Amino acid sequence: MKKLSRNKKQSEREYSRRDFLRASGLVSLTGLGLFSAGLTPAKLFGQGPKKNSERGPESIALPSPVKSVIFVNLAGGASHVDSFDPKPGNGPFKSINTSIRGVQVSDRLSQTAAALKHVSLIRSVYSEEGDHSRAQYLLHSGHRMMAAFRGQPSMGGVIAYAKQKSGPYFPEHVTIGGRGGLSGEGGFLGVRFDSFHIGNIDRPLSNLTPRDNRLTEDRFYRREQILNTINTNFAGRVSSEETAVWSQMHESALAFMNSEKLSVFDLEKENAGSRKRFGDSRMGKSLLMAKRLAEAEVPFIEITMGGWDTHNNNREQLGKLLGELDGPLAALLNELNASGLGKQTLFVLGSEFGRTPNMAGNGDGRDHHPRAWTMLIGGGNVPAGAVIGETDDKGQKPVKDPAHLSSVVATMYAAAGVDPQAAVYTGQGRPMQLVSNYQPISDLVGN
Amino acid sequence: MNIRSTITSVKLNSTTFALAGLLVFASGAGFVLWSDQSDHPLDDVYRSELSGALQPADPHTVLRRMSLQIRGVVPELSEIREYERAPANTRNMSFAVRFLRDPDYAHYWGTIFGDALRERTNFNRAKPGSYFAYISGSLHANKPYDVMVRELLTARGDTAQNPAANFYVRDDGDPLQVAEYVGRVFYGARLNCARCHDHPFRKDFTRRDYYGFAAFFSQAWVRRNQKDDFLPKERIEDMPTEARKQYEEKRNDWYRNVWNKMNDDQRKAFREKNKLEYAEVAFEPELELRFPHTDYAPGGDLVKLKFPDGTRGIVDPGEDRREVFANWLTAKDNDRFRKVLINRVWTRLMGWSFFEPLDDWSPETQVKHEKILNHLDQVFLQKKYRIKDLILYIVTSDAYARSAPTAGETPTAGVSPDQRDSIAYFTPRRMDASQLFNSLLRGTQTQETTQIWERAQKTETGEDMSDLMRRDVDLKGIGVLKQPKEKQREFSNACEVPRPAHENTMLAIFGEGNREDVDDSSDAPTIDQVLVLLNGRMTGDIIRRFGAKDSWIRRDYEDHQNMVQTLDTVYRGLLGRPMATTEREKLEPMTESRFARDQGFNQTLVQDLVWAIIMSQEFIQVY
Repeated sequence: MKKLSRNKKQSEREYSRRDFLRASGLVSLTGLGLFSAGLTPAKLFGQGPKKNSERGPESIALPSPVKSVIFVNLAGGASHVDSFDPKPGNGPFKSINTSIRGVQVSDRLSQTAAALKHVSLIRSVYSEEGDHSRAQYLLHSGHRMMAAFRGQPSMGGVIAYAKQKSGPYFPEHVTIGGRGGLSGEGGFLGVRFDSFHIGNIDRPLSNLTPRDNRLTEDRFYRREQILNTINTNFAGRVSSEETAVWSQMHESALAFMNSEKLSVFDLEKENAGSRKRFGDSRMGKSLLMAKRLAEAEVPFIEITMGGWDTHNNNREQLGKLLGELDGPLAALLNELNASGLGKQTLFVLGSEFGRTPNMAGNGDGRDHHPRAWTMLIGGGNVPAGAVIGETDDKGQKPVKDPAHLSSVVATMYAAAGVDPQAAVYTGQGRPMQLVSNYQPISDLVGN
Repeated sequence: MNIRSTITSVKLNSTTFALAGLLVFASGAGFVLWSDQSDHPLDDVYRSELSGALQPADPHTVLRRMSLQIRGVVPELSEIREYERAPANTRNMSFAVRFLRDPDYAHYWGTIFGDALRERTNFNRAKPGSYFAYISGSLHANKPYDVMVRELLTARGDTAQNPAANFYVRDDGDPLQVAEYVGRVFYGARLNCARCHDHPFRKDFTRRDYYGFAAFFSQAWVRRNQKDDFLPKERIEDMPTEARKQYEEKRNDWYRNVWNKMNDDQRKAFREKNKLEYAEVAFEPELELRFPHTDYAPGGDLVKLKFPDGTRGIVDPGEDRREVFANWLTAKDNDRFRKVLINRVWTRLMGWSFFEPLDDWSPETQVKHEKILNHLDQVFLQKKYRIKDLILYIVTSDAYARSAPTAGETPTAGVSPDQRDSIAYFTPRRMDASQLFNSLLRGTQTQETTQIWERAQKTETGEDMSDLMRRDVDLKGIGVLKQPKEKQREFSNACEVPRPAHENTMLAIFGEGNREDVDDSSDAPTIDQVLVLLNGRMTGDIIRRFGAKDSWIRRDYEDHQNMVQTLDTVYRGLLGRPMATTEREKLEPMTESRFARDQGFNQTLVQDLVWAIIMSQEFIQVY
């Protein structure tokens, strides 16, 4: 196993560095010259946040035990008929029974099958979007992509906003793995709600300590003075939201360097048993990280696993991906249930669309299929072991309780303790309803 | 705060600053030395769209902005000095010309166009780096845009001999993919919805029309491995029945008479002999496109050609359909082709767009300030689709040289709120990954005798810059272009880093996309970026080495033995301006060092200054 870089010696050094930064006052240095530029702190939280900040995050919040959401995004369009909605005789894998009576999944998900009873399945998800970027946009917002509209926050940004905490910066929205489209976007809610992104799970944090560790306190102080001088000069000449946002980033970065909670990101702090259960794979470590972040009550954690766009080589590619997903996913579901963390953590797994039940012309590929696919949801007050909807014999389309993807997003919001009917406000003060025209699935979140 | 006092205190040649010295910032009065009556035709149009006056940025800011936006790097020290000495009425023009001829223009805009074209250094068995070489080479030569696009659209052959062929190799010659990207990048139309169903927002563009558009690109296909490769089976289906029969016969004959008669060794030798070094674009005149069979729509027929505006395409049998499409696309009356490009260039330079997204100009799109766009279209047409000429035209206007918003600036009346700031004021923007990468290097390294500077100097000699607007100036680039380096070595320019940039590189952290989608780079600020600047390897290395023995800054100091002047040089190198009075007052006492070993040249002080500048707002912003 590749070890995390954070060993004991280093954390000692960090402690002294933190001490040191405080002593030298470096923590506050970049804010200088900012407020003199006529920018109120509220203005930093978005391009026109007045409306949002007047109403506050509680205006979109519902009473809920949920403190965190873990969202697993199978990017590329995961084949539902080869995973969570298998149909006899259609596909390269066998079907096996699960811990939910009457529900079968692919035999490549044998460990997940045993843990499936902790969540519910929505087997009748559909949408109109067969293009990756448009469909991912819908999955992350409940809204169809509109050409002229920029600044749409992802649901991760919205939930981070709704569950924001006071105090020094610590990530409220974390993305792990790939990043693209709306994933990780705070949009017009402000850069604060953009995700902190972990691209390399083996090195989740980097560059948190000064490169030159021989710097004396005098020199730190001198650097601070010079920087303040340059920033003050600049603030007297140029003032814009772009520069203010960058200042805020500086402050957040310094607060993060000095955070007491950094060990959350250290998988070595996990006991050996749980590390073994999640496994040593990239996905195992990512989901273990998600669990640790949920324990720290980080509001929204998204793990993107790519490679599901199996136009070609469907059998081999899916065999590989499902194999990578199975163990870690089962470990996470079991862990959430056993520890009680699931009571305050909503879990969702989904994809932007399904794949054609008929094989493509090449004989071993499936194309985009937004007419039906499956998503998983559980935790919080969501009932476990329920199955919403079903598809026809081939998995072509829903034949019972069809659930538009926007309706699933509304369900996620409601289950996470955010009112999907509530509105947030754009920079121009225009209200944007979180989900329009679609209701949450009542069997999952009550009425 | 008077710049003049800074100048005299650092004992530089006072004539250098004769102009700069006049630029006194009198409280509330704005800058002097700027004529509101510019004779640039663009300014007449721009001002007519704006009710207030444009505030000019100060000259150092304009030079830095031009250098960063035209060639992706801060100006050199020597350029700043020359700019200060140059006549104020023509220097923006002459420096813009210089920057446009600089290879760094092609390096930087090659990356911008590479982002739109999803250029990758090594993919699909194309000759590594050849796509970038084609793009940057075309830009360097100031090849007319219509010529460049035609070359891409009609390319044949392998990517070593004809690097434009990368355009098809990029999407493996898939006519649907190619059509979608042609629609988006060159025509500003997202037609991909119609791949699976009739376009939801365009009632006049059906799924059948989509296939009719894609059929323009059906005759090109990509041979990846062998010179003797036949069409893949699923593509043979796209031929008319008779042609398909003939093709299959030909293929079967070949197997019967050639392949089957060879033994294993002969086959191996044959394969070896016919191996393609690089992928190539092949042309099969009989290849068309069939409308797909689905369970909810009839299909299977060969589609008729449709242009993206919905009109029918007519071709002669065997004619290269791509030529017909290129004729239509680049026709003089197709202003949309030009305007999509103009909008892309304008957005880069001015910080606001006539329409967004850049690749989606739908019937619902409200074009902002169309009068300006139409004006630029006329200019671009007159300049024969030369991109450098368009850039020169824009950057020499007062509109371009407008100032960023200053503290307490009042909004201009009569302009809609979302447009107000970026039209009246230049919107500061975080340096993109390439600008930052290049500027960190250029701003801190030995720079006074660089080759670029010498070449630029030669071309400027005796050239009259006063009437460039009325005549054509040859903007062809001078000098050899850098290319992506396949193996990790030392990089002197961001363009040498293979694309897509690895996710752990500084370029990716600062927003370089993975080149999967059109323009997928991002300018969003992140915590990671700040941490990389504060504690990362690149800045750590640059700062640690700065001012070491035999370094240029130490030699600069030895020339005059004046530490304050050396600090001023650091300011100029990285920020493109002299040190301000307030800054000098703060820094001067620091030169009397408390550190005993810092007598004379004070290395730790210059290092601390470089650190502070790199962390500053001013350095990271293009403003």
